[in-house]
Amino acid sequence: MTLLLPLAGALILSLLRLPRRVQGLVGAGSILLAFLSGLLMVSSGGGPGPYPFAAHGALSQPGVEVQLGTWLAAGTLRIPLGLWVDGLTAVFVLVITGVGFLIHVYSLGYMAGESDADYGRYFASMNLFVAAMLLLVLADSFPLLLVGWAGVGFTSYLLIGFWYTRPAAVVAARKAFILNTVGDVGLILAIALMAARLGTVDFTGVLGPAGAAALAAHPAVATWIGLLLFVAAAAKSAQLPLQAWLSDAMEGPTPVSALIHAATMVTAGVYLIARTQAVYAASPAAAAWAGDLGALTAFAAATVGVFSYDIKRLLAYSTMSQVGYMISGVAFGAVAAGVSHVVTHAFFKALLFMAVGLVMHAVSDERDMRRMGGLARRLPLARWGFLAGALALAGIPPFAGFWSKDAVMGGLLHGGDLFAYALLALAALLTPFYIFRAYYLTFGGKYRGEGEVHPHASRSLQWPTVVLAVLAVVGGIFAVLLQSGWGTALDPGSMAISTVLALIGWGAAWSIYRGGDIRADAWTAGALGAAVRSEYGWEGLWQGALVRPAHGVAAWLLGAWEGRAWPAAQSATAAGAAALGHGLSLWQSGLVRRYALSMFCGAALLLLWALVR
Amino acid sequence: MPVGLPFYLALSAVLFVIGGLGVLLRRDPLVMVMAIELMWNAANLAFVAAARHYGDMGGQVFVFVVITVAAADVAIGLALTVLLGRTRGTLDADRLKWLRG
Amino acid sequence: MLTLLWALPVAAALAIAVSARRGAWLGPLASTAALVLALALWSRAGSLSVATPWFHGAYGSLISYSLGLSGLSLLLVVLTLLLTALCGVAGLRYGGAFVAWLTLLGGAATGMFLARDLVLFYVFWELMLIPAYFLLVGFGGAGRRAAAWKFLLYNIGGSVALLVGVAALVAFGVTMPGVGVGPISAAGVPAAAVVPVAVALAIGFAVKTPIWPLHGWVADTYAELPAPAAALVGAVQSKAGLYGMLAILIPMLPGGMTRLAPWLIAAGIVSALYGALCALGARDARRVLAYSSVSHLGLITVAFATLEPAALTGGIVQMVAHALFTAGLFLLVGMLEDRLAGPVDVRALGGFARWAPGFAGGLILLGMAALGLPGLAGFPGELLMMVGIYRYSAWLAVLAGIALVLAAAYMLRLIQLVLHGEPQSGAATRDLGGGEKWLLAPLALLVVLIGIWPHPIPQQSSGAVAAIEQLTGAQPAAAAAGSNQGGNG
Repeated sequence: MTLLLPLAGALILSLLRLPRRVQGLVGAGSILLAFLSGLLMVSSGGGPGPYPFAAHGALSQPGVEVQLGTWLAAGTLRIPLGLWVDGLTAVFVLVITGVGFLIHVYSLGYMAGESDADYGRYFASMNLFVAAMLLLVLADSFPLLLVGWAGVGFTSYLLIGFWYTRPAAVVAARKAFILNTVGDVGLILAIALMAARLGTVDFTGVLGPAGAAALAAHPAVATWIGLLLFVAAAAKSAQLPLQAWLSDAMEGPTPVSALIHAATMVTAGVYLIARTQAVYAASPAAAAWAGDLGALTAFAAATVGVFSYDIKRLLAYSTMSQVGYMISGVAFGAVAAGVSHVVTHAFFKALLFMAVGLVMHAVSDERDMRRMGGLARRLPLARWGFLAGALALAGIPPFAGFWSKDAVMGGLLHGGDLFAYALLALAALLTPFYIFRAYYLTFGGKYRGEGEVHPHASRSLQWPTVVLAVLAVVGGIFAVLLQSGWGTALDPGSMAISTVLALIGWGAAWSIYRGGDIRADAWTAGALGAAVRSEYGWEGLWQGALVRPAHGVAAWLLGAWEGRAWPAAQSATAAGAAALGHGLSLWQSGLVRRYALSMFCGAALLLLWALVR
Repeated sequence: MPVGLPFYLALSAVLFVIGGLGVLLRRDPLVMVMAIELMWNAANLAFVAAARHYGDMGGQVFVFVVITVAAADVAIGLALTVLLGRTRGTLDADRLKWLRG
Repeated sequence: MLTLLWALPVAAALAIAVSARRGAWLGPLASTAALVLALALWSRAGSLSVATPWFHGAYGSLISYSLGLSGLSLLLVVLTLLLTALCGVAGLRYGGAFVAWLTLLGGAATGMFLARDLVLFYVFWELMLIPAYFLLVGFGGAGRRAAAWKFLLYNIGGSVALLVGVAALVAFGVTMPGVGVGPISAAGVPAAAVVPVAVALAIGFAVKTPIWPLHGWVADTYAELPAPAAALVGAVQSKAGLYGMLAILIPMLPGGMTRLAPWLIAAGIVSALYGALCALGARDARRVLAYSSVSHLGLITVAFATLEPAALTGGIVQMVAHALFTAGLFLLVGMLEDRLAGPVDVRALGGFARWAPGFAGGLILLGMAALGLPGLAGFPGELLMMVGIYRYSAWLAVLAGIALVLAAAYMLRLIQLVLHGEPQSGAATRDLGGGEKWLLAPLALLVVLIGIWPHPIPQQSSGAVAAIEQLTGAQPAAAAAGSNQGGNG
């Protein structure tokens, strides 16, 4: 049910031509209804608070499973069509629809400048996205999850490239889709592995007691499945080595970034790994790879954020970094911590994007922080919203982010990889630094831009920001409830360390940037800064190693093979046939005596043959 | 010594070969027709000799068939030769080669 | 009854020719009538057959006019008739002669899928060539003569190989009751002859599909044919080769197939990757689609050659899906060409999404289906094929995965170069008209439906797959697994 509403919304919007207000109503309204039905679903299931969910191991008892029939069957493999609801699902459904609804409302105002057709197209795509994401978390088998998974990738392609007349947006959308396809292939291969070795691809089969036993018996299989699943998760969640698309994805409208690249799509990878705990429990090797790469991403992305000038890209790197926390957490088994960070991150990251959206609307879509500044008095809502988000992101208690981020780090400190913990701790130092650098440069000091500042924010832009700001402040409650409900205790030692790290980072930023003076930022210019900003040359590497060779091979095949080799072979065959014919035709000389000679010879041969027999 | 079948067949073979060589080596269509006629008659000789030797009159009957066919063949051959000579002006088989393949 | 399925279109084609080309609408009408008939027979698949002795061949063989409808052939017959009707409607603007040839092609293909006698199969196979040639020569683009020569030479060469194989099989007394319908008697083939006959058959099917390295005719042919003809040829004729593999090569010569399998797999995977890379670089939209076809069909060939049940089922689903989205894409490109009055050079276009949102939506939908987006028709088959291919060889699955990523790359390139960015060619173009939308709607609808609910397709073909499994000695099919096996193919 929850699923169908946004889907219906998408269909209505794409097929009918409606007046603008109705479009907005349908678009946002469908998500609101989805949220309400999600609440209904949750409350009728396992009750509030502790959900029936066994962390670390077999998900043997779903809260509710709804079987709708067989999707596909071949030989002994049967792929069911059904839905699966448990605690993990419930959390994600509520976040997707709840935060999604707020973002839709925000979009009503943000996208008001678009044409009617584009306005409808926007909401249709957004609704389709939410529908796909819901399918992803509600699916009861891996292939069905893949349908939602790819649907999310497809709709994000539509949304990143929303302003398709802009070449940068088009390229970004394509890059995102192709990297996501690599992830999809990883998931397909994982499914193939499951089908081949475990004989089943639905959740009960793979993650239930039978599957867990099989995985434990064949750790190599579990490792490969785990690695392939991580490839998929890395693509979707923008982790190394498939992370290149997220920063470019900022070409899309800001609410798109808020929804897709803060709250939902990038967390799909986290969901996947959280869901498949049975696999990672059976294969510490795969868990280590996933967790370490997640932590490495967390750190590396944070470093790039420190040097960024483009405020949206900075938030993108921040997302990459925070999702690295989540992935690392769930990979090493701190599922409650990782998922609670999904929740809080949705709050504060969406809030940050909304605030940035307000800023961009006011300064004619300028994104470079060097041309901002002094906006605190002109844009108070943006300023306070950004501040709330920054405090949450930085992990300063008692704001929302602290509770979840620290839980992840605590989980790693005690249960996981110390290498990963160290990376996360370093990132925890850098995060407050870069976000407060952004805050001070954007809102402090004097305005450095060229145009006028036009603060205009309709109510649709304002009140979601306010709601999210409140959630960023008090949302820690959800995190704590989640963790306690799923059996994770609070860890004072780790909390202390995290607080200290956060305060140090903030302090450093405050001391350098508090005046909002751009000259304090001069150290980010220069060769080191440029190298870091280019993601350490990653794009060049990617292009040189993969993209250009692929096009090169394509051109070679078309030129040398299709253009020359095959036609040459065809011509040679034709020429050969013609030559044969020509040669044979020499016999037809028209000379009677020669014909007579050949007749005689033939007759003689026949006679000889008859005599010999 | 009585002249037996082998001698007649040998004569027939010699005549046949002479005729054959005539067809192959002479260029005048008229001479080629005559050589073909010689080959027909060589065969006739072989038929008659064999009929006489085996006592089967079928051979002699067949000679009549051969003579008839040979006559028809000569008629057509001579007609073609005359027409070719009239229209093409040359009676050299090597030059009469417009029916190339 | 079954005869009507192919006779109606053929008769309509003749009628159009006789009526001085004015009755062009007869073609789609007859095809639709046959389609309705085929759908009505859906539930009785497998229990229907016609068999009339025709003439006695050499070596004591009996060649009969026999048709039969199994689950697999039913799917293909319905598909063919539907596409013949749609492409016939699309081709009405080219005149009666065009529609006549097109309908004849469809009828011949239908007959081929129905045939239950090897010689009859071959007759229909050859019959398909004639309309295709005349469509190419009579209505094609600028390079049609060269394309027609290539088409003819490759296809006739393949047909000769096929003839050799068919003649050999007939001489050895092999009949063809149809996969999954009755017992297949292949016992008469002496062991020494199995591989050569299999090779001959394989070459014939490989040319038609087409599989690298016998694909040289495809790019030019698809580029020069008028769009509705390209749609039908691309969608239906290619299935002939694959169907032949499933219905003739595998069941009748399982030993030969096992020996040939590594070669077919190699050729297929090279096709898949080669086609994908060429599509990535191609300039003409038609050629992108042509190479894309080579790539997709190469993958299906790989799947069939592995003889894994999942791969076989997946390949069959993908055959249906490929026909639908390929036909749709060719029709769509044809509509664009009409507006541009010339071939679509993707490097010179851009920005069509602004003026033609309907066209853009159609291209995106069908393009996404072609690259196998889950939720659309291209995915279920692809998934099953990957499962089966993986069981055969993990590395092969990785290579197939690379082909999938390349598919995303070239399809997106096509979509973006045509639809996105700033418009380069200046003139604004009108969007899809109502008639065109109605034409594409059934295809788009089916593409979405099959993506959401693919189950009926493997259900239909499960009998065929089970029969193949028994013959090739792989694990017995899911008689015990309780999935709905119709039993009648």
